[in-house]
Formats: sequence, structure tokens, C-alpha cells
Amino acid sequence: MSTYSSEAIQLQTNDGVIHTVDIRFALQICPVRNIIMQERQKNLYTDDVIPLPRVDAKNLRFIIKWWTSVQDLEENLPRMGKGKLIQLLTEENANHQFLLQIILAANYLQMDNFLLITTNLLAEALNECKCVEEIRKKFLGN
Amino acid sequence: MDASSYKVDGENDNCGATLAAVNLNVLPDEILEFIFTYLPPYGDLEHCSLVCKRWHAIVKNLVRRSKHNLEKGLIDFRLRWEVFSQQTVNGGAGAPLSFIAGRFAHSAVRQDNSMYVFGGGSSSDTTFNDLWRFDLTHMRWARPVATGTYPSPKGSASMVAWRDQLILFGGWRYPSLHPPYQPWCLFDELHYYDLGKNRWLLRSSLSSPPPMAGHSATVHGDRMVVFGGYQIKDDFNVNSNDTWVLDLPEQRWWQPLFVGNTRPSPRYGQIQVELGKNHLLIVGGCGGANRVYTDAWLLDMTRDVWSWKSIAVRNKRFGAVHMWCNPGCKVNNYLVVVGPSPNMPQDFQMMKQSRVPVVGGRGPPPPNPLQNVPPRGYRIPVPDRRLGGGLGGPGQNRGGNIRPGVGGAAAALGPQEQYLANRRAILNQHMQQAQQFLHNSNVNNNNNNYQPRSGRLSDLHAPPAPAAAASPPSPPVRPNAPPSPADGDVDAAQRLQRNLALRCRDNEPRLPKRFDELYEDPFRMAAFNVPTRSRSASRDHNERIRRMEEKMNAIRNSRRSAPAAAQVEPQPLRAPSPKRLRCNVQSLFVCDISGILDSSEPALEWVEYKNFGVLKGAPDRLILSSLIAGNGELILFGGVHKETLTDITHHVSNSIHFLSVPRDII
Repeated sequence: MSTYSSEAIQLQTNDGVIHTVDIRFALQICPVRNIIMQERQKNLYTDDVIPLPRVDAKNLRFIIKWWTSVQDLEENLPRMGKGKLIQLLTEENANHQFLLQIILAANYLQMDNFLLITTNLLAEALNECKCVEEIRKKFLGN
Repeated sequence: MDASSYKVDGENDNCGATLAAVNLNVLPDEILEFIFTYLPPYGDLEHCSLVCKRWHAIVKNLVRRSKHNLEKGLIDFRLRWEVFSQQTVNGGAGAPLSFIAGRFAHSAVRQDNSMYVFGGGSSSDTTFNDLWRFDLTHMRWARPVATGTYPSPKGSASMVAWRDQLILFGGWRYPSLHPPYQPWCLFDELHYYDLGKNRWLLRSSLSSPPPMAGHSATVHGDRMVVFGGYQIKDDFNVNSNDTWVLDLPEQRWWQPLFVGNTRPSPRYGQIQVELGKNHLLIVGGCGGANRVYTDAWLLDMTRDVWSWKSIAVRNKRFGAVHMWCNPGCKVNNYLVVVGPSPNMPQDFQMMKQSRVPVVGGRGPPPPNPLQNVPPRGYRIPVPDRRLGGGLGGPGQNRGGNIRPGVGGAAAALGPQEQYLANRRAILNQHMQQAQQFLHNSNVNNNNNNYQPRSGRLSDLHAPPAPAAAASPPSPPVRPNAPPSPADGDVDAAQRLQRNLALRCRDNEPRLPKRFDELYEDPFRMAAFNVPTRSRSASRDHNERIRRMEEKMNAIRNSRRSAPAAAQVEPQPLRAPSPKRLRCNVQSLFVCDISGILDSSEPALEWVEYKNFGVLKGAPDRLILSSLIAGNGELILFGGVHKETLTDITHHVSNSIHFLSVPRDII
């Protein structure tokens, strides 16, 4: 990672918004990382925009925000990352729906540690329910 | 809690209840399954499985996978312990949470997301008769308010779950302190506890088994099969290898007919697991002094006439050794035993024993060269040898003829002991006490007769056993011993036999084997702190001689060529190895029992352990705890520190340890 200069990579989400992100973040995203690795190997340094069709701008912005706030944590990522996540979610006044979107985005982007934290959060919310009906009501939308 | 807000870690969501509830079904299956792995696998997971069909399928898959992971983790020894004790729980909202007191030799059974614990012993005069329920969903102890005829306080009873009832049978209890010097009590009470009605019922039937403790029981269909135990039969305390069957709906006992003459030897404290509706497996057990079993027997109940079949045990060197005071339970195709960690390779330890016979008096057996034999020569911590069986080696409980050994060996031991005393200073005191405890129990167990206290005192006085203060002499090295190793063993063995015969004549009040040392140890220990240790040490020697005589002869013959040189060698080996320190924790032993029911070549195979079976976060070494299987994990509870059994106040534990697979991402 340190071999790369801090260049910027351009990612385009499905709503057409182009995000310019630090390369370190881009490398957290597995599909993007694969593309970049391949480019490097073949020594193609294109400046094309990398599309992320399944993520929309709002979610990606949120993920970028989370990552930039935790990027310096190495070992404590699960614990501190979770705290940061909760903090950010509160700022956004997010609800379960948003968290779901984030989880789907993280799954698509294959960001494992982020996925771990977000699913843990959701599991705790699930755990809080006392009975089956409550779960159905809250999490199943019917 | 607002329905649509996160109440997680203090996060507040004010989005309001107006937003539509989310639909978790947008998530892919593996993410959902991953989320479910965070939930405790008991009540909460059940709730999730009832939500909708898809979730039900996912949860089912998860349960299957976690079972599989646990098995894999058992084979690879890739599990970890987590502890739950009262200290880890904050009292919460003011109401003081009641929790269970520490105990050992209790009975535990799992029923429907709860673990029920009954009875057990605590300090040297307390036996419990309380029933506690540990709710695995909420991780909370609760004490059901029970009505009906309460059982008497008892430990080492067998409790099984059947339909929605708990069936409790047998047990012993500490003698009541007033009037003093009462014998131990064994019970033959049969109690049913109805979980729905919270009621205890005492059942008695015409033909009922004799009072017993330390037996084992399992449920097969509508029958409960009870085997073994320490019983009072015709006014004698004996180990038994009888089988009794209780017809559960009718509450009637009967004894089955057996075909064939082979039966497991009488024992108590064995591990009994159910292999199917018509098969059960008995592993281990203790038959008294000097007789800890590591064999396995299969009881075939398919026909009207039952039969026992001895099962070969493979890889015994990876097996648990103290299977009478350590719990075991079945996890699908594996039998898991939690026990004291082996300190060194078992085969190494066997070799060590050959050098023992101090009692012979004719000279030290050729001890040392043997120690060089195993590759890990430096691992011979002296205490281990002494402990021999104490913690890791096979066949420790050779309580046998300690007494005679003391007299004879004491003189011979003198000089060596002093030499060893320096070395012994390094030794762990606990080990010594533990061994002593074992020896004491073995001595008492000898032929089910109680050792007269007076007799022992005289023995104590007789041998000088001076330096024994530091540690019992299993003097591996006899620098100044005359070199006639071969004879020593034979002589010792003969002496042992003679002493056994003498001892048989003792007529003492019948006391349960395993338990009387608990009763009398405080007295013995107090007065004879130092000598007893040496006594037990020499006893240890004798025991080992008896067991390993043939091996010793063989080895000795090979060593006879260079006894002198050999004797000097072991000294550097005496340095306590760092490995020895590890035996303060429990380790895990796993045995593959899948190959038993297919009749071609039934065998029990111990799985080779890694790192001596010591896993991360292992609990302290305790005996007489209980182990039951949870959902994808194993639950260990209670137990007492073996070393403290000789004290008046035992160090019992009331913490629960969970053995589970460490999590990782999908």
C-alpha cells in the first residue's frame, strides 16, 4: 500500500455521481482493488472512472466518511470502528433502512471489516427483540 | 424503545416511528446467516427461526453449520473457552441477581435452552439439594421455586432429562456434623421433578437398586439405564458393575438379563453416553485404589438379553487419564472429556515409572537412563514422576500398598530424598498435595476397606522421611544406590502383595471410597504434613512398580549394561520444564466414537491433541465439574480444586465456561 503514492481514484456510482477518493480507500474495496492491481501489473495507468453500479452516491459517501474517520486505526478496528459507525449513523439520523443499504453496499464492495461491524449492529438490534412478533414487525416490513 | 430506532450502544434514532419498517429480506442469505451468528444460539435464534420461512431455513442451515464447525473445531483443537462468572455480570437495575454457589460433584442436565444444576458438595460439610436453572438465552441464573418432596442433599447423583421431567437418583452426602463421626450416606432415592409444575416427587418401588453414588445414567427411549457406582450392598461398600433399568413412565426398576460373562469391571465415576436407542457406551471410571480405567464398553440392548462388549481403544496416549473425576459429554460423533492437561508424552511417563521401586530396598532401580529415552528428555519434572498418575500419566491411582512401602522405603529414601530435596524446592506444592490426595483416596479405597487411622500414624512415625518436606521422593536418581535394579522391583512387588494381604484384614466402618479422604484428610494433613508427602511418594513408587513391572523388567534388562552411568544422567533432566506449569488449566480430550456402532471392528479412537489440548482461555484445573452440550458449544460448570480437597474449605467454582468455535467472517 505504501508503494502507491496518494493518488486519487475516481469511482462512479449508479446515479452518475463521480467520487474522487484516496487510493487507500479504493484499495479497501475488493473489486476496485482487483482492477487497480491488474492495471498496475500491466502497467496501464488509465484514468478511467471505475463504475460501481450497485452502490448509490449517498451510501458511498457515508462509507467514505466512515472509512476516513477510522483509517488510522489498525488493531482496534472492530471496536473503535463500531463506535465511529454509531456516531456517524446518529449524525445522519439513520434508521434501519439506511443500515440495510449500507450492508448491501458493503457486501457488494466486499469490505469485510465494515461488513462485520454493520452486521454486528444489526444483530444487536435483532437481539433486542423479545418475541417473534416484534421481529416481524420491525424487520420484515409487513 | 422506539420501534424503528436503534437502541444499540446508546445510539438514539429519532427518525420516528412513521418510517416504514425495514425489510431484512433484501439481504442475501449469507449476510442474514452471518447476522444470525451473532445471536446467542438459544432463545433468540429460535425467535428468528419462527419469523418467516426463509429465516427458518437460514437458521436451520446455521445450526447445522455450527454443529459441523464445533466438530471440526474439536478435531483440530481450534476452539476457545469463554468464562461466565458472576463478576462478569453487572447486577443491573438495582435488583440483586441471585446466583448459584460454587459446588462440585453436582448433576447438570440441559433441557430446552436451560441448564439445570442440582446438588453437589461445597465445603467439607455442606451438601446441597437445591435446583438451579441457568437460562442460556439470557445468561442468567434463576432458582425455580419448587414444591413437593424435596430430595435430601446429595452429590454425585445422576440426573437425566426425560420428556419434561428431570429424574434424580442416588448420590452421597457429607456426614452431618452433629452427632460427629457419622459415616457418609449413600442414597437410593428416586425423584422426579416436573418442569412444568415445578414439583418434586419421590418415587419408591419394591425392587429398587441399592444406594449408590458415582453411577452414571442415560435415557434410552422410555428407559433410564443406570450402571456402576459405589454402592452399599449387603452392608458392604463395593464398586459395582450392575446395570439397573428404570421404566420411566411406570417408575419401576428392573434388572436386565445378560448374555455372556464379560462385563466391565466394577467402577464408579465413569462416563456414560447414549449411542442410540439401544446402545450405550461406558468409558473410564475408577475401580478403587490403583485402578483408574481407560477402557470402553458397549452395551447392546437390542435384544431381550443384553450384552456387554469391550471396545478397543486406540491412541490411548492421547486419551484423558482421570476419567472418573472429570466430566465428559457426547457431541455427535465425538466424546469430549475435559481434564487435567498431560504434562508430557504419556509414553515417556510410562518409561519413567520403571525406575521407581524404592521399596525394594535393594537398591535403586535403573531410573535415569529411561528418562533419556524419550525425545523430550528435559521434560521430566520430578513432581510429575511423583504424581505419576496424579495429573497426566496413565494409571495413577495405584493407591495400593502405600503403607508397606513407607516402612521399607523410608530408610532407603533417606539419602536420596535429601539430595532431591533441593530439586524439589522447585516443585509445585500443589502437585504434591494433589498426589497426596490421590494416594490418600487410594489407600482408603484399598479393597474397600478403610485404613485405620492408627495404622497410618505408626507408619508415619516409622520412616524418617526427613527431606520429604520438600517433596515426595520418587527419586529418579539414586546416585548412591547400589546397582541392582532388577531385583528391587520384584522385591517391591512382593512386598506390595504381602501388604495388600495384610490390609485386607482391616475391618473398618464402611465409607465411600472416594469421599472418605475428604473427611479424614484434614486430620491427617494437619499433623503429618511432611511425612505424608514422602509416604505418598513412596507409595507412588510402589504403585507404579506393580503396574509396570513387566515393562520395567524389560527396560531394566536393557539398561542393566550401564546402570552406573545411567544413574548420573538424569540429574540435569531434573530441571523443571516450562511445560509443567501448564497443568494448571484444563485441557480437552476428544475421542472419535463414530466407529462403534458398525459392527465390523468397533473401536474408540482418541484424537491426537495439539498443544496438549490446552486451548485459549482454558479454565483452571478442577475436578468433579459437569460438562454438557449446548448448541454449538460445550458448557462446563462447577468443580473443585483437587489440591484443596484436603483442606477444610475447598476452593469450589461457580463459574460457567463455554467452549465454542471462535468467530470469523463468512
